[in-house]
Amino acid sequence: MDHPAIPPDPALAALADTRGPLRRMSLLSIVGMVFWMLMLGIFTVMLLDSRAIGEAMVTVERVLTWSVLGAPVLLHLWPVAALRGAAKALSAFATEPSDAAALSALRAQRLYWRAAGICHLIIVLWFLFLAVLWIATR
Amino acid sequence: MSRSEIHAELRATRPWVLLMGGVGLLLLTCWALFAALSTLAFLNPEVTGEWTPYMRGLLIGLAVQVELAALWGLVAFVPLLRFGLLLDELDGSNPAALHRALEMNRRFWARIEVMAWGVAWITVYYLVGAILGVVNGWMTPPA
Repeated sequence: MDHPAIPPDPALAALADTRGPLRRMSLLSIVGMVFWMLMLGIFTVMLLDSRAIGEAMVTVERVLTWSVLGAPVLLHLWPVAALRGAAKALSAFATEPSDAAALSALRAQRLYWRAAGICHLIIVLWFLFLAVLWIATR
Repeated sequence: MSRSEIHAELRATRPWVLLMGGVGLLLLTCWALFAALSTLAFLNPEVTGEWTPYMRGLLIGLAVQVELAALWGLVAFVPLLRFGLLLDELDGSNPAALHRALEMNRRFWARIEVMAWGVAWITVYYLVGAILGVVNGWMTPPA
């Protein structure tokens, strides 16, 4: 038996309206993740192939070069998973609004913001490290 | 379950929203600068002298669209920062502040979704353009 949807609290109406963009963004981010994992796979094979890049690179250089793409792509797995969780929790709230569902949706969004903030901060710091290393070893 | 718990949950989100807002603005600014410099470089015949007109057009189109996506991303991050700042006003008993904060959150997601679709389009544009160029030899200058 279907339960009639309870009209959301006006203060929380904007939260329910976020369902569409958040759901589409989470699906789009999964598609993007698949694409970049594919790119990372091709890049990894290229770096492992000595004939393709010659013998000019030592192992450390290969690992650092790999990390230019590998670090951002793998780090993004965390916020992409958290975004999916946030989209599901928000969908549950929009379907059957309640304070408990709202709290759950907001908690899931907090976990997403934490994942996204830390992920992008690490990426910025890693790129700064690589830039300093590159300048210092030129 | 009380409304004050919802306010408290949102207040706990504030540092992470501000962190992502700050880092996001930094990344998008770098992205916009990089795209602007790339556009200028691709418009310079000294840089693209050996390129075919097809390849030059493809890359100018890419750089301009990437620039537009970065600028739209910067526009999208304004409500995110406002959302983060408004969360400080939540004291457990102010429904108007809660509504304003959640509206900024909704606005951010609506705008960033547009950018995400734009980036998806740019990826398809470039991949299809590059494949067509390679297959048809449009990217190889005549000997």
